[in-house]
Amino acid sequence: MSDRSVHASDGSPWKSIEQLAHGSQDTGEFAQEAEMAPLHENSVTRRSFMALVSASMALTAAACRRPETKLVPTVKSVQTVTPGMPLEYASVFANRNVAYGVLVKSREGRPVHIKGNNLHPSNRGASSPEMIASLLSLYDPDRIRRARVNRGQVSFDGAVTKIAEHIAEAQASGKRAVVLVDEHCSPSYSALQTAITAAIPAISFVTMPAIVNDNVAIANQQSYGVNGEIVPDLSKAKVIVCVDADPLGADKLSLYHTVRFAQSRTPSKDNPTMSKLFVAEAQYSLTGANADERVRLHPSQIEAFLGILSGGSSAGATTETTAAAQRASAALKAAGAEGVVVAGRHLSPRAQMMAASINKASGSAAVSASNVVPNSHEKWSAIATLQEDMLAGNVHVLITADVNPEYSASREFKAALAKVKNRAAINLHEDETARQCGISIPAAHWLESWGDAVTMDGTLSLQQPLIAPLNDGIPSVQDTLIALVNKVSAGFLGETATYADYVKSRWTGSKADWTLALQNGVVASVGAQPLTGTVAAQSNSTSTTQSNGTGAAQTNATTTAQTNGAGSMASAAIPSGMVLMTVPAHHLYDGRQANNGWLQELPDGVTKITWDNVALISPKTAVDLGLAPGLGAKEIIKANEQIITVTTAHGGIDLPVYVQVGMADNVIVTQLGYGRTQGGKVLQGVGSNAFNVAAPGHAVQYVAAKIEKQAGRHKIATTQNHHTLDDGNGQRTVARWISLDDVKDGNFKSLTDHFPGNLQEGYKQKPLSITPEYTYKGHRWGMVIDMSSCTGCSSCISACQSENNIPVVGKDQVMKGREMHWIRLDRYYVGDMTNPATIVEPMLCQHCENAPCENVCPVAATTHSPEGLNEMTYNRCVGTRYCSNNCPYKVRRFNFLNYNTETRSPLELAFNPDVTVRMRGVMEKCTFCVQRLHEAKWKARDDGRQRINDGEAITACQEACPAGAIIFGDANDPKSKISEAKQNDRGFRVLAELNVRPAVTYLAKVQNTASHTTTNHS
Amino acid sequence: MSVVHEHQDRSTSGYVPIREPLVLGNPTMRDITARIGSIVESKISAKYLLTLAFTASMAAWGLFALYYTVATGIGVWGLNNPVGWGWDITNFVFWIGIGHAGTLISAILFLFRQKWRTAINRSAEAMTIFAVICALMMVLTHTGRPWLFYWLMPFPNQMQMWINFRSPLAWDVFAVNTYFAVSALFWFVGLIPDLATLRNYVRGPIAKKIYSILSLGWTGSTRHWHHYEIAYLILAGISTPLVLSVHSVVSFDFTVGIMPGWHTTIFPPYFVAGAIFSGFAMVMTLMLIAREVLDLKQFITLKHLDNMNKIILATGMMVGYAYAMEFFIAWYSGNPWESWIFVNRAFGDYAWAYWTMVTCNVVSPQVYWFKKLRRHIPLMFVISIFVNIGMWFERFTIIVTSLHHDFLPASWGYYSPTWVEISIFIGTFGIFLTLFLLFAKFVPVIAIAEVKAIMPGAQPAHHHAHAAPVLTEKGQHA
Amino acid sequence: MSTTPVGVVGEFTDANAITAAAISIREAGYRRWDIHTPYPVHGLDKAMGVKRSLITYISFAGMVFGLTNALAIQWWTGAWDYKLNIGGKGFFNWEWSMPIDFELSILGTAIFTVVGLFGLCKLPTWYNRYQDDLSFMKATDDTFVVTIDGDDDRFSLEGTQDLLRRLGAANVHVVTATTN
Repeated sequence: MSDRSVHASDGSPWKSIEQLAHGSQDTGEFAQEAEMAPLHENSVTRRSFMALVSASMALTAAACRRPETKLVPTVKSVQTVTPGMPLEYASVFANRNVAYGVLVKSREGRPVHIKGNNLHPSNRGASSPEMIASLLSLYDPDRIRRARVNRGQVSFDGAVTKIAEHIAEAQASGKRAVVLVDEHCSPSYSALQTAITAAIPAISFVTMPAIVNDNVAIANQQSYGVNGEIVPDLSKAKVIVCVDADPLGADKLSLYHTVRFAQSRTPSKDNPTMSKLFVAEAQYSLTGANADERVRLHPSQIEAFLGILSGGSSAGATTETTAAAQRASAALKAAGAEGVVVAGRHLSPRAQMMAASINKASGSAAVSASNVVPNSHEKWSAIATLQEDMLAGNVHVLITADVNPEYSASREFKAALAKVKNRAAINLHEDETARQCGISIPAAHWLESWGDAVTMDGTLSLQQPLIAPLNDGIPSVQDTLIALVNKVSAGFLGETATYADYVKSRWTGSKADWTLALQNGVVASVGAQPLTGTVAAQSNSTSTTQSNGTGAAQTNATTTAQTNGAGSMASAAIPSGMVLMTVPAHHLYDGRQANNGWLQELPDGVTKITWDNVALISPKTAVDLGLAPGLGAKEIIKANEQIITVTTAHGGIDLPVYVQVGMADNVIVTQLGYGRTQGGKVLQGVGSNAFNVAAPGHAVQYVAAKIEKQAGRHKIATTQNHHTLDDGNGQRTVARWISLDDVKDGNFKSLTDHFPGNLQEGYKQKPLSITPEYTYKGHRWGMVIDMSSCTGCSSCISACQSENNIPVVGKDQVMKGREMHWIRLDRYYVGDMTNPATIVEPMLCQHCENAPCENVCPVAATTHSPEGLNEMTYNRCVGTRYCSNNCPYKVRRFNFLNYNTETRSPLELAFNPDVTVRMRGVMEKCTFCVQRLHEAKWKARDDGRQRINDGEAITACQEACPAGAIIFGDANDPKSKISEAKQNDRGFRVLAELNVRPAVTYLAKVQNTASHTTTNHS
Repeated sequence: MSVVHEHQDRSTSGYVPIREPLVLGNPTMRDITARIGSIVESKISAKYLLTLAFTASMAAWGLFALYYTVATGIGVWGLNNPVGWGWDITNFVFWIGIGHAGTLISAILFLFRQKWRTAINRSAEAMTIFAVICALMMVLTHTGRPWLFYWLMPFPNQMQMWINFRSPLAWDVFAVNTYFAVSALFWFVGLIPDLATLRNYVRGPIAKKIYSILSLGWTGSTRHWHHYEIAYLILAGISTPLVLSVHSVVSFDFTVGIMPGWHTTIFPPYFVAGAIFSGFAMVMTLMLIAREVLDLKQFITLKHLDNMNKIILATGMMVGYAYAMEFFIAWYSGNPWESWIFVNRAFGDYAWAYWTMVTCNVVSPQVYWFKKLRRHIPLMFVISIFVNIGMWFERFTIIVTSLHHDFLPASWGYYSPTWVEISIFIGTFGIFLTLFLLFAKFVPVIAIAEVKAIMPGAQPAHHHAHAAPVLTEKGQHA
Repeated sequence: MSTTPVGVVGEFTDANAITAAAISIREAGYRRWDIHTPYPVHGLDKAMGVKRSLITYISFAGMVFGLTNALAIQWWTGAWDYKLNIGGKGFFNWEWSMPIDFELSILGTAIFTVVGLFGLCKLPTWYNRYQDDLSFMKATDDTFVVTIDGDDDRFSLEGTQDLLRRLGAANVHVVTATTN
């Protein structure tokens, strides 16, 4: 059925506009209509709610103007605003307690694009989907606009006063006033917390992230004496053994790891070396998808596996486990100090310590005890204490600052929360927790507020606001806290103190250094000392019950590590039967950005599922559970979309089944971060909350589960179905890969023989043509994509979406196969279904020289530019869809409905003004970021140059790629990087035999194995 | 002279050829005029009105669905990324194909001096025009922005842009419009004398006025007939290559494409054969109805139906040959994409469509090997419906199965229509039938002048050779 | 007020008779006369001595017209007025111009033919001097009607009627129109 009819039958828009008239559009009236939909039907389609609240534009658009604070643009940009010309400002994006440097592109005072900051050590210019998509959260129409006390709107001051009163009462009654904060990496925030506690002892801060990983800290305390998470540098390792760890996938650190991992993954004939990634895991993670050798492990086998790896006994290990472990440890031994073992964060302290001991024994170069994630210390004891205090009624007031325990915490903790009489929430969204709080205060987005962040190596970066708070006068969390404390004990940091002043006041360097720091975004030249030093000093005084400890790691790191054997740790009892494993969602992580359409529609790196979390099970398990009749490819698919109830000791949820090849049997994997019920329209009815069945954050994330098959089905929206490269006619040659030995022997034949007797000279040869050749005199744009370094992290998709105004179409449209992403990551399985290898092939418009799409367009809406671009003229397109039909790569995207024009205000502020917003009935596709090419041309022209220099024109996907897998440039320029890359022996062109002459060359994936075929069988 | 007078030719083995009369009951010319004229003169029956109301409401429903599509977007159809064309283009090709039989009967049979065509050519031509109208409707509204349909024409515009003459769709625009224009002209030229006849036959003053205006003052002057016959011959002469070219061009939509299953040189002849096949089936369906409703058994005899069934059998075999040859080529070419797509056609997700097509198009006409069955009215009615269903599925199979699984497995998908697409298809039938009903009532359904011209004794004795094949070959030069 | 003869009308029903009659009337030297038949009677035009029709030339002209237009617009728009590199197929190629060349040739021919036909037959003419004559109306039904106009040089009320009667025409009579 059509969306329009749903929309028409939906009365809510009018209702909401009336509320808007009373300025109360977001205060909870939506809560009633936005109940979580039953699994088998999605009640609120995206397009229906996209139509809601359009009138709120009036409130917000007016607020969009130049920030009042004085900003310092990066040296790379001009100093003053030229209308139409973008400015770039450096800032820092803190993904919880991991800091990534960013450059925010601002147009006429509004941020339109976020990219990585090359100067920043942790991401080195790369970006992650969360980082890019946080731009959309800035303009989220569902953000809170007014402070609220109970059901009524109040001024910000009114709300703060109310809380202050409660705190005063707490002081009087000698009870606790607790501020619940998320893990963070801001030294100033830590300092502020300490200062506040010092000023008002009744107030204490408790850090409670949605996903607590204490085991790492506990283990490291034992083995390194470091109360925190030590991060290995994968670029320093030749052999990487990941034991149920997913450093490249769903991980706060995935960007950090991907940047480093990819460095050693592109062997050439001259330098045929690459790291070997050995993965032993229960799920099929993105890391597993990148593995050179992968073994399936049932969770109950993991510690046994580690035991053998660390040279211990093979007690309790199955023969496969033993065999695999011996292979792995042999590789490790061979690598010596160049090997590293990475254990999953959720594993038991004992497992962590076994991994640590292996690394220590080998003296692994990748592991440095000083490279510690800030604020990653043990947290559970503080949380447990708080829980008891709340139950005992010792907590008079609880302020949840940007955390959502009502959604993510355990049943017990929620029960305790209910005991607290006075609760306040400082938050961007009216989320589950805010709903339960009497007082709710809106918070500013990180792009609207000042701050700072420190990285693992102690590098400091400054966070400067790019725009005045969209909703007038909304301060950051820290500003609210300062205002709050000022109310209780007047004169705290001075009456008019702001957090901005506070951050600056803690700057001990010179004014010039400060300016430079703002320009670069990182304190590079001035060194890390002025600020981090002070943090470290303070962190000593902070007890574990209090939060922060940002620098605790650094200070403790210097203390000599006491090396206890893992024996002192209790082994985690993991049942050998059916086990549920809850993992963070690849893109949503813990669900804080669940109201973000870009992230919701970004396909999972492995499953390609959007808008849902599912119960992933192996084919065999599906058969065992009676969900599929047999192991045949066609039979297995029958299990998909059936609904099962997963029950654990902690609760039960309904989940749709999705068969994931390569998983361990008797394991159910589902993602956290879905099933949000409050805090926006986008997240309504998306997935179900796996926190309800997960073990409490600090524990091992494996719980025994019971499965019950339910009636009915739940539609799953995937952007790619189960089809593999093998079409029953042999392997399709569209995505190619070779073994490291092939590279060593210079055996690249498999990349060139497409068809019998065709293209003997390899992919560079051009077949004959009956029509005259077109000669490209000036630039000739082309791209090279290295499938060997690409990990499938999906940053390119998000970057493209942000750069090119690509609409979010919603689950129902994705199910119809109408997702609009211009670049997609094709995932192909190779090998048997039990444990196949994966090839990720980024697929975008190939800008064919003989483009089949161009020939067939009757109105000449798609044509070839003199610079080799396949150009789409939107306003000429009548929408026959013939071009898409005739595109062998199917990379063209058609606006079946008005996707973009129904964007809810103020989301349209996120649009890139350089790119047309397409209407319905128009075809669109990758343009090689032609708007950026033009920008580069203007610059060249201003410098009086005829041509763009190599590296001046950078596409959004190339810019974002952490692996550096995408090279774009002028193929007519013999000295350009791309011309060089196009000569690479690993190169091939997809479907070259069609003589469409694509401008994109792919470099075949190299698997670090001996033979050409995949050898990873468990 | 007696029409049923039989001569026997023993030169051929056993079989005794018997020339049947093309018009039964040996009517006078006045009878013919009166017979056809009375259809126009007679009062409109309730049965007719009810049928008209039914078809008109079908048309209305389809037009509503069309309005809904244009107002909301093509998204209300089931199309998706791999499958950009579904029922829309299937219907387009289907209707174009239906049209072809009309031109074929009126033009090609005319050139071959097949006198039996006179009974059916008028309604067949009308069918052509109405079918092409439906086809044009589908192709104009299948685009994402139908209100810009005129951009498909080369005209000076503010964008300074011209159309892309390399595109088969652009060729379509020219081919189909030419086809429509020529068919309409051909039809009207053929109508002029008969309209004149009606002008002089009808009594009602308004009807008389209308027919007078339409007949352009035709008097049957021999000097006019002199030009007229040559003009008609030329129109027939150019219509023949035209009808062949039009469906070839339609098939270019696919053959010029690069998709496996589309990119094949066998399509033009294969499509033309298919078009004639489906067209004759549709003529058959309509004739059988008209025969009953308008009581034209006298003019549309079993002999006509028999001949048409022979053609249906022949073209059906051609189509079947094409199906087989596709597989052979796919295998023989050694092109893995090609061979895979055809295996997928027969055994993949859309196998049901493929086998429906084969059953209806290849198997069902085989009954026509037997003369008895060729003259079995209920049977031929059923078969004619089967053939139309089969030919619709042929186009569906070609378009959808080739698109839904192409080169990159990652972009594969599945397509199924929504109620909107189905309604639009029903609507085209409504429009087609409504127009045909109106035609059958107000326009001479039989080419009066042409029938008269083949009546015994209609032509001077020394012209029997061309004029009166109603007699046996022997008798002609008597 | 007087009545002047428009012409003489005679009816025939046999195809052979009318053909014979046509020959004799022509040999009698009449110029302004015609035979109206419900359907084309073969050979009658020759018998009347009607000259070969121009229509074939007109049609050919139409074909040439259509073809030149097709080639001109495809070449001019593609290779001259707005050059676009589309699919690397060149700006103008005869290979891909064929379909439209063909279609437009056909269209040109058809239109010229029909227009030519109307021109040669002076259609539409919604008036005929015999239109009210009852015999004349039968010409679209089942009768071959000979009309010999009154303004023919050889025309004489009696002589012409006798000729027709001699040739076997039935219901021979004079058609008159009142003039004043």
